[in-house]
Amino acid sequence: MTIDIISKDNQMILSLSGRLDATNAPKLEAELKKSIEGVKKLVFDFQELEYISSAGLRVLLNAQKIMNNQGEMTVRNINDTISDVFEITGFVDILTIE
Amino acid sequence: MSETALRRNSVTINRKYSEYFLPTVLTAMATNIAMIVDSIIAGNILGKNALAAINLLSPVAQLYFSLTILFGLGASSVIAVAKGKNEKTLVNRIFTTTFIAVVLLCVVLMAIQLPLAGGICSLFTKDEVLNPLLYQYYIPFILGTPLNLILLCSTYFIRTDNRPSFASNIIIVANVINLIMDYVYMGVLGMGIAGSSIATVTGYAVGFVMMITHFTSKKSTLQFDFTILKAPKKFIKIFSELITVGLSGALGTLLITVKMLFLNWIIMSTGGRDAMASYSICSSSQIFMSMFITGASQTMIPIVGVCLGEKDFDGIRYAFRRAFTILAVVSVVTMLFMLVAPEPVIRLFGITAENDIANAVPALRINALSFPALAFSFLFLYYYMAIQRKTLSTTIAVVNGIAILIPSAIILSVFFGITGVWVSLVVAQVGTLIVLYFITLVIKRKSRGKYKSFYLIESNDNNEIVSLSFKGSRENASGVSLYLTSFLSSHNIEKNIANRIAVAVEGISADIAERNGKNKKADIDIRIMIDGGDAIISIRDNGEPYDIVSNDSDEKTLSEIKVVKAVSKSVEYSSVLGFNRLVIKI
Repeated sequence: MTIDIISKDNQMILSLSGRLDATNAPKLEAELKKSIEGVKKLVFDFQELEYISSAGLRVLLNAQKIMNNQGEMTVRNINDTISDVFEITGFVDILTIE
Repeated sequence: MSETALRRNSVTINRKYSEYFLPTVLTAMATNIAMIVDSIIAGNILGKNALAAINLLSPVAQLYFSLTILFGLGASSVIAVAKGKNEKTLVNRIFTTTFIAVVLLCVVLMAIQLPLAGGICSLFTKDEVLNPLLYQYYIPFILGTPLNLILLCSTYFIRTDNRPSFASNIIIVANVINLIMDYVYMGVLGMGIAGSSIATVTGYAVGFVMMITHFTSKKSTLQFDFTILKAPKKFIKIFSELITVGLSGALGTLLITVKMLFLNWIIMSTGGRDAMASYSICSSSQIFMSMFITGASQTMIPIVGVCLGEKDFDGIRYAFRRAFTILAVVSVVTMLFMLVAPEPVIRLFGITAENDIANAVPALRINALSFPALAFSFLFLYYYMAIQRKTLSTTIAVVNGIAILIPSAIILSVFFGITGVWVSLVVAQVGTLIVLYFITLVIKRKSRGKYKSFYLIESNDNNEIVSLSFKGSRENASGVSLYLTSFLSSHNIEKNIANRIAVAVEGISADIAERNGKNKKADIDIRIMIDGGDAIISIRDNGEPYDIVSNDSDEKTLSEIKVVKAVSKSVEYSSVLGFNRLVIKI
């Protein structure tokens, strides 16, 4: 999995590609821990993300909890299979999906 | 991860086999050695008449032993299959039915034997010295019936309940207590031959207390379900099932007694006392073999039973191959040793005269040739019993026990004297395998391609689409999900379903890796089946026992099982033979 980060003012866009699985989720978690402070708008771009596991979902949930206190978070460009996972796990009600 | 790295392997089954093997062999050793030492102690303290009286009752003791195999091994085999199917209610009903049946059997056996004890003793001997001794020995034996039968049957259940070492310890402790109390009752308290019998019952009583601690502990997965008494038809059905499954094993044991009685007769009448002495050594070497045969075969039974219930046909083959390899090595090594150096073995039994040794050497060498076939005959008997091929396993018991041995021994002894009798021991074992070969050939042909080998099981579960094995680690959890996503999509599984399966498998695998730590990686077997419109994932691991489904009480954390529950229709956990097993329906 690769993570591209674009930070501007108080906004941060994370573009993920590949698979957000049990091995890669800690990498994203570490990246967020390092950069999320002071961010008012967090965007996850999943255009190139193929797969998300429960470990990935946990990272998103934790990020959402942080952003609930300091701003807003959006997930965009999800594919059909990730959309299916978001739907059946109830993440569609927790996350803001574009 | 590559397909090769994930290919289903025998690691989990072999590890479980190794865990069960030593305790099962130790149990067989403890029983056999204690029987011999018991006789030695009685003979030394009370003399040869007491020894003769004890041996006269051996057919009844053998009958009891057969009954424990009939009920204990039969029921535990049926329980293993039900556990594999995750039918918890049925498991408890089989357990309860067996318990009730054994208690009733004890009552019947005691009610018949106690008033008729004198008459039964007279059937065995009318000798005025031996008859009263036999009676004194017999009465405590009858009174100890419930302890004897219930305890020995229960050890089979305890083994199937994933406590093989505890089951083995019960038997070892019971036998050690028996030997100590032999000395106390007969030697110190002067209780005579009754002391020997009471010592055996005392040993069983101590074992009985140990047994109760298992069934009252949390480690027991078996519970009484007396609602079965309200359904007499179901009770009879379960009873018939366990009896028919256990019959071959019981018959095999019982026919050993018939075989020994016949051989005693024909050897005495053909070769006299010298030949009998040679046969005693042959018989002892067979007892040595039987410890391993019992150990290897009975270790296989619960594992094969569970795999049969799960329709894990690869697992069945792995367990059989393990037992086969062990028996091949032990039987061939023992055979070669007997062929190369029979004389030290003969001298070990106190035979030192050159003429006697010369007579015994050919007997031992010819008998040794039967060891591999003897081992495999019994392995097949127990294997077909475990896969519930009842008629076939019973046929092996009869063919092996008497059907070939008796006619061949009679015919060969006419032409070749005592050498003919020794040769008949080999003919009986090899003949059993030849008969078995042709029977399985017929069954295979009649199955029209369903069975392709002597295993007489399908190559694979027809519904199975993939079967994988790997070590539980975070990296492997990710690797297997990547493999499954691509594999399932290329096998016409709808993309979203394939993805849900990958998410579920990765989640559970990562959780197993997390729980067992980096140093103690669990081995994981995964099978995916398509049943109707559902995908069924069966995940089995040999990590620390943990009910992941029930232990999900923290509502704040997004646990692996919460996600798995969300992506699936149902998730069921069971602990089978110490494996954690999850069945996930998607």
